Amino acid sequence: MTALNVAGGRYRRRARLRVAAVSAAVAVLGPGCSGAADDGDGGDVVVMAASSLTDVIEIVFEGREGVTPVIAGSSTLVAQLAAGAGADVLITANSATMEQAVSDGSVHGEPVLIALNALVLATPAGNPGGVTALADLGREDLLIGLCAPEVPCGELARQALDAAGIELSADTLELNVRALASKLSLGELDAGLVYATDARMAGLATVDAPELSDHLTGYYIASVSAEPPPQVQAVIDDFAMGGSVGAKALYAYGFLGSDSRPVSAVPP
Amino acid sequence: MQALTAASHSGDAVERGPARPAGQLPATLTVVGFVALGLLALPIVGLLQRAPWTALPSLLGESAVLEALRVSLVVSVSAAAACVVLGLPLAIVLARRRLRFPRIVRAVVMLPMVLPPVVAGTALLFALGRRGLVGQWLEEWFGVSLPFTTAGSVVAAAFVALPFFVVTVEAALRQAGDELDEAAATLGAGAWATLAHVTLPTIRPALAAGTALAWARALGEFGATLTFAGNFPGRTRTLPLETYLALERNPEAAVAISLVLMAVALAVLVTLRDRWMPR
Repeated sequence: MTALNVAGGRYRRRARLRVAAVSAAVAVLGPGCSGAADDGDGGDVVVMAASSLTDVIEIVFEGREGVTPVIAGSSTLVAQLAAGAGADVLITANSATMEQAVSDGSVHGEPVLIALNALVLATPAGNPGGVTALADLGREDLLIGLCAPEVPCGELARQALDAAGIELSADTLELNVRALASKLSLGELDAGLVYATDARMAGLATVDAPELSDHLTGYYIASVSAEPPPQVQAVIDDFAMGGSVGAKALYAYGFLGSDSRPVSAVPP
Repeated sequence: MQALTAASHSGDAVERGPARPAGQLPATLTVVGFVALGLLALPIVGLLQRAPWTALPSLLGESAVLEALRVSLVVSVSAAAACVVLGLPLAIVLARRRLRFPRIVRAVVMLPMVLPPVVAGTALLFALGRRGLVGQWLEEWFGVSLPFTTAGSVVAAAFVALPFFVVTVEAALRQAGDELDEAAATLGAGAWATLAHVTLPTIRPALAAGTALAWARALGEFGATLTFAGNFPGRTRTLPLETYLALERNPEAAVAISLVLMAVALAVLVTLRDRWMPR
């Protein structure tokens, strides 16, 4: 300390800055190292939800304290859970990803079906590419987008196109349905297959495609822990019980109803 | 007054000189410093311990990976070339010309380094997309549409990589000073001759370092490419995109590709560290 004083004011200021930097670093490291482990009581209820639920989640948890939503593609969420990400509730956009989470051992509660969603043939408002049928997804002169087959909306699209026997001429395979809907609404793509709910949210035009009506995807909710604490169970009940706030928001956004049967009772 | 000047000089000397003996550093500082180093090194170790070493050749030999590798090489080499062609004049202008608003200009140049790549990609869509500010004219006049093409990937990669080249070369130009250029001019060399025979040869290491850095950054580009150019195998799906997709399909393959990308990045940095670090 004396040595620093001798060197003059300039150096003293530097020394103080160093101390401040060290304590700031310690402050940053401190809570970060302990926080991850405890998310049972006291911490927020972390809800992992598929991208297509973005708006529903916003409505349901708006102004509600103690809930932290994490939004991403279902398969990303499942991979994050398997890698040890801390979460209390998982909501996926199809049964395959939920089954994966169950078989990974990262979800212990019983999955419950909360809603259904349909694929639609969507175009930018005004349909500048003049798309008239599902078969137009094979037109070379159009910019066509789909979800990547690795994510639920892409998997469903692939099934639908295979069943309809349509030769696809895609230009991009987007990693989540929201990105695809955005690119359609910006007019960067001429046509694509997105969920009915995303088409509605992004203000996209839709073209009749009867081939798609048989291809629905189910949304499943499950508790990460086998015995969820009351505040976690409350979040699940919001979605799983008919007439509750979550269910109302789902239907308001165009999701199709379900009767909350457990996942095993539903055909894949 | 005199004492102060002396102090500031000696202060500079300390900063530029060799590292002080460890005994003079506060112990806490050293400890936190190594904790930080651990934070940086830990992910690398994590990747290495999960690496499927024996399966590596077959994982990297998958046709999807090879296709992504081809796209990545085309995109990153083209982007690095674009960085040299566009970045060299910019670096020279920044280093040699008196600019009206140097801070703002420099901030614009550096922006892609700190901007989230997704934002960069979105901004590129608004500028060069089919309906974008400039893109709509590209489409109308030349029938060129950049999004969802390999060229679009190159644009996205060049956008994020350009600052790395410009900053490296500009720093070298400033360090070299312009005395030699002036001497050459006094001796009758024209502007182009001075550039080709005096300026560029003096900063050759920085040119190499800047190009390699820009290439490495372009090779690792993910967010801007995905947002602006999309993702299609053989066209716009680069190695980082393949890694992301592989993570959802076959995590081992993702680790294998990540290893390759990391090895390349490390090789570039270890080779060039002394040249690009500002001294």
